[in-house]
Amino acid sequence: MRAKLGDDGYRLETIVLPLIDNSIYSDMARAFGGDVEPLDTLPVPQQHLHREP
Amino acid sequence: MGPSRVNVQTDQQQGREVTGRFFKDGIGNQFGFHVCDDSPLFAVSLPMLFREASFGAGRGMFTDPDNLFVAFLLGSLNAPVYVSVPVRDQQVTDEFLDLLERRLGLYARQPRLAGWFRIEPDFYRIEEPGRPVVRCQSIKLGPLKWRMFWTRIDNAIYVASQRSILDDLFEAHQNAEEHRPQSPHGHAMVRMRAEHWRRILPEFQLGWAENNRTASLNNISPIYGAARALLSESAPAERSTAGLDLSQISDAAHAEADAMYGVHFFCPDGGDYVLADDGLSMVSTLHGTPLLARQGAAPPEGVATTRLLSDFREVTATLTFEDDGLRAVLEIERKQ
Repeated sequence: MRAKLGDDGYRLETIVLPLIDNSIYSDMARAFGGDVEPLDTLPVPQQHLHREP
Repeated sequence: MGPSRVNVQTDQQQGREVTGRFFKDGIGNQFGFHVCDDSPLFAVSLPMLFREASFGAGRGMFTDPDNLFVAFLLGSLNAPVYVSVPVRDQQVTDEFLDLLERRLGLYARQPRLAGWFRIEPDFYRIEEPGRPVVRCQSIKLGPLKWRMFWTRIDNAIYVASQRSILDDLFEAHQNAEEHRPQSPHGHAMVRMRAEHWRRILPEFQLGWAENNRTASLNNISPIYGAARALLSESAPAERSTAGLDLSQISDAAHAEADAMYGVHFFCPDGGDYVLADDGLSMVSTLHGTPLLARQGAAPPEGVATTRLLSDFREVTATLTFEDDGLRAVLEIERKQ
């Protein structure tokens, strides 16, 4: 676990060990896994509030 | 085989090829579900909605993609929402959108009955000078009509529940450098832009106040349990509270309950717990009792919740599935 506290904000990073034979974890890993990519590259309007996933 | 049947088969084959190229080369491999600022009709927890749509009842989004559409539909009933999909090949994407509108135009001419109601689909284009073509599919079910708008703007397809969202997105693309967010890398992300909440903020504040009241009133039972024990020592016979220092007994009961349960019972809004004059109930100075609860429209100024929420600008949670495990990063940006 790694934490960073600063005047401009906070950052918390952790690694959850693999959940073996957990179907939810397996489904998510299969659906989302692969090479990492930038996730928020498109412009957003001023009324934009919330983005998933 | 007659000529008309040949034409139909050729058209179907071309349709399959265009659709295949669209999913293979036309669009990227990610999508975003976005919620815009507005006063909601219902207090919907979107994380819970997506969790239920993804994993509810043992059948999830990843085994039944229809659930994602249901989440979009439910979300659009409550607030303006849109889905974004990055485009890799604009020409291939436009070919697919042209094909889709021909199919939907045909579908719009085929109303049918569903129970008591007649389902009336409709499809049309909105063409305005200097702006990309917007397509609209609507479905009328009895007195209700639900619309969905989509368009391609530069390198992205947008599907929105309201046409004004596409106008705002077009403006955002015109000023892309100004509105382009910092982009974390990963596999999944949830981002909350607190700097944009205006119309929904009173609803959020009311929800936080409700949560604080619930938490506060949950403390009454263990504290009053300790208070009854102390009262029985102080007034065992006549059960009268006359002459008793109820404030002092309340404080002692609070301390006893903390010690007994090994936790500190506290009111998130800064209230206190005191015995009623007759000693038959414990009352929160801010939230009353479980049987007659009260609260403000927002958490009080100066409490931790208000300080935290007035201070942050943006929250981003990023997930990355790695060989070592699931890497989770939570970043909270504060206002400068």
